[in-house]
Amino acid sequence: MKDKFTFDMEKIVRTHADMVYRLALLNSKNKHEAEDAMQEVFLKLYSHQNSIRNENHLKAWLIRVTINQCRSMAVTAWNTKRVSLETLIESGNNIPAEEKEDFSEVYEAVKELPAKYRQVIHLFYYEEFSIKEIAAILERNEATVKTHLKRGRKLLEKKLQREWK
Amino acid sequence: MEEYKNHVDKQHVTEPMITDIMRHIQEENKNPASNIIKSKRKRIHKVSIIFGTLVAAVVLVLGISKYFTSQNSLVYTTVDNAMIRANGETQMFGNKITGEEMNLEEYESYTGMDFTNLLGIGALEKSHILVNRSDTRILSDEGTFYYKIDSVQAVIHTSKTKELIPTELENAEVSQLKNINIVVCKNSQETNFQAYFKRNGLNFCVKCIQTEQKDFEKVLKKLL
Repeated sequence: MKDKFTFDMEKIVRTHADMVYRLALLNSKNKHEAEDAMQEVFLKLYSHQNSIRNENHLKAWLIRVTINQCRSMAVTAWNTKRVSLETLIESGNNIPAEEKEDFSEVYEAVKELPAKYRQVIHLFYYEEFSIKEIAAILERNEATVKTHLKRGRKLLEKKLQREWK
Repeated sequence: MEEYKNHVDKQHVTEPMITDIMRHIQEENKNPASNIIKSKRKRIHKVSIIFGTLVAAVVLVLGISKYFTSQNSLVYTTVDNAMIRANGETQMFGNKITGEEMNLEEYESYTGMDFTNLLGIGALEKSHILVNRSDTRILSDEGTFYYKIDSVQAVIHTSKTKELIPTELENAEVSQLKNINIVVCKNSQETNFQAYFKRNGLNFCVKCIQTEQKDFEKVLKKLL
């Protein structure tokens, strides 16, 4: 018998904030943008709480809305044209990526992939979703997800000049 | 892969960030009306965008179709066969006009038109150009050119000084083709066609006998 799903906002935020934040970081230009995206996602969840059916549905919903939120923030004219000086300094955009303390060559390589490959790589290797689950979450067909995974892997191998396992 | 996982594992949401999210949610909770207003505004905004886009699309389609209709659809006046046959040639080569003949080269230089290549290289079959001069002044300057393009025969009359349109057609409906005002007529059997227009200061009368409307319009489009 399935567990009854109860909507407890604070519990949901505490359980899933890391997943949303990580996905937002991967799909945003900087930490501030990722934080804004995460906040928007949880506000949206709060107003759509009645449509959430269960835990799996919640997780898929959060992933999909986070990706969409980051995409829409990226295309906003404000976002594309203006970055405040404060944001620029705080996000360390003036420091070369390689010199940052938390620099990871592999992470940067994944971040630089085209969005469709980047998302699939993250969900498959980090969140450990199956191809079928990713296809359902991203509303793409399985063959497309497989192709994106394969192409993403190839691009990473080329970029990193080593095998991606 | 492990490096990627290790790096992502280090990314955590801090307690102040969670507090901030919860504060925003509580604010929303305190004022649910704002949520409803927001979503209503959003819906209204969406509806107005869709409506605006639809209106713009309809206007665009209507504009384009009107443009093409006005540009390319010709309104024909039906006339009798005799009128089509009579206009131009017989009047021009009747007894009214007498004078010396200009050669094609001179006429082309006089009118600024390349009649040889007007409807395509090699289409011009023959030309009759009569000029009535009085001392150095040109009183009448009418040219007739016979063209054959595939199976279509076209006769073109031109004059710089004389209006070629007959009085019977002066009140006929004017069409537009490539932004040029044009009067077109045909016989009731729709085998003979004629057009009158002015181009580059030169009056034109174009006539196609025993042909089809689409072939006549092809000739006109080549001319304009």
